[in-house]
Amino acid sequence: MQILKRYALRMVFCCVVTIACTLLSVTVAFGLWDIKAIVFVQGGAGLSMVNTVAAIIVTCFPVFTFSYLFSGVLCDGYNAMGIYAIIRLHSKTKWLVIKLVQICAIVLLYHCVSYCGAALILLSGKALDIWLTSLEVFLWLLPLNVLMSCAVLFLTNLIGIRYGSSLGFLAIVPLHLISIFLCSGIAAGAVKPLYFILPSAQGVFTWHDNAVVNEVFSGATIKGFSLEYSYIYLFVLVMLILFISCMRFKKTDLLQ
Amino acid sequence: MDQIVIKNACKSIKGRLVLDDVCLTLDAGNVYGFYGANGSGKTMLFRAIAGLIRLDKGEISVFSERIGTDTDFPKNMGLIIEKVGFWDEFTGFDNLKLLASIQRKIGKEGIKEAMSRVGLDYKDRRNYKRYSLGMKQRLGIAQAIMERLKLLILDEPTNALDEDGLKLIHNIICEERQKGVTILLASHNAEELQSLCQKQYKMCDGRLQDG
Repeated sequence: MQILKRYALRMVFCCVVTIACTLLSVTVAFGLWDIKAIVFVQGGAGLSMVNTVAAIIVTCFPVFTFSYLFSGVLCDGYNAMGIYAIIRLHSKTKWLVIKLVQICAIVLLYHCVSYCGAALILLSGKALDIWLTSLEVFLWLLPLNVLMSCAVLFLTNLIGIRYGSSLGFLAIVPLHLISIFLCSGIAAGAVKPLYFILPSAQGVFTWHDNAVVNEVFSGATIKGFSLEYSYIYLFVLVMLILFISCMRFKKTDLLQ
Repeated sequence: MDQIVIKNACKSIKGRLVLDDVCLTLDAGNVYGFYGANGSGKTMLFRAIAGLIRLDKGEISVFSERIGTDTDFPKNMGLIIEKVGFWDEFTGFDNLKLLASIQRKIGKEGIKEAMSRVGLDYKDRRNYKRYSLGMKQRLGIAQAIMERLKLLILDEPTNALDEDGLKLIHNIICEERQKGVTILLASHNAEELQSLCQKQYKMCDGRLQDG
């Protein structure tokens, strides 16, 4: 509970930024504040650049803000009586798993609050069927975005605990930028496997596939990409990061 | 028998040998002192016993459990080491409450008692970051002694403490010893150890010498 209090202000800030970016991207892309634009409108070729800008705003900036503000969860926990907690748990891996679960909870809370916040604003005064369709989209996208954010935040924090939280954050910036660059279609001739292995790319595809559905840049144009693929890929990635980090942390000297 | 047994412990960090073939057997219930210059290996030896670092060679068993194989860390251990902090924005009491909630061996009363023993006021609403160096050290000692212990590892526990603080720590060490707790105490001041310890060891360049 006290840990939640510690991060409450950062959480509020992240949610406000994300909601603002979502509303801004809708305005930029479609010139109107309407969830219908996100859920139903089929983007045309004329929207391509604007759509890219929207994708960058909606995907990149909130993720950067979130990753930056929460890049030190592991590092802070370790520096602030982490050792005392670890010896009481009698296990390094148990401590690490608890911390990573806390990160998952932070991610889940962040996505729930920011999605709900944006939906409430966009849907206010709309008909019930739009609410229900939006709820369906929300339920489809939430686990995917949570998995993506977990993968990214795990990486940020694990790099952060070894080399400092700032470096942990900086390490994931290129990941996001490459993802956005590739997925926006600017580098249409880029190596296609990269589409499938960059965690953030999954988020961008989700945006294009389920939110905007742009013919030029949508995941549908890339053979083999699907929402189900993303679920499985990200789940395996998160589990792999968890497993490898636990194995590595178990063998790491504390306080060298 | 309850013993701490260290066999041929070797550890090097970044190419420098910090523990060089250390062999030692310590009986339970006594106070052992370790002194030596800065960088002599006292802290590394304590970290190895506490399970914080892995040995390159040799083994350590604490009360019949091998560290790193049977268990990662000794059970019922209290520990003070340098460079370990608390949550800055919580009070001393809240910090200890967080730690106590892990094992649930003690409740609020136990925490209050531990804080009183080290001369801290549990009602103090100041955050940890507002504590003086001495108060921070006292809080570190409180967390080490607050739960039922068998082993207490104190690395330079009197750092930053004033005269009253020193007396307080000496009293705590005597009380814990009477309870049968095995205490390992490191200091660069050999005189300080003399009055408290049954046996002293000198550390020099990662090697152990009888004091």
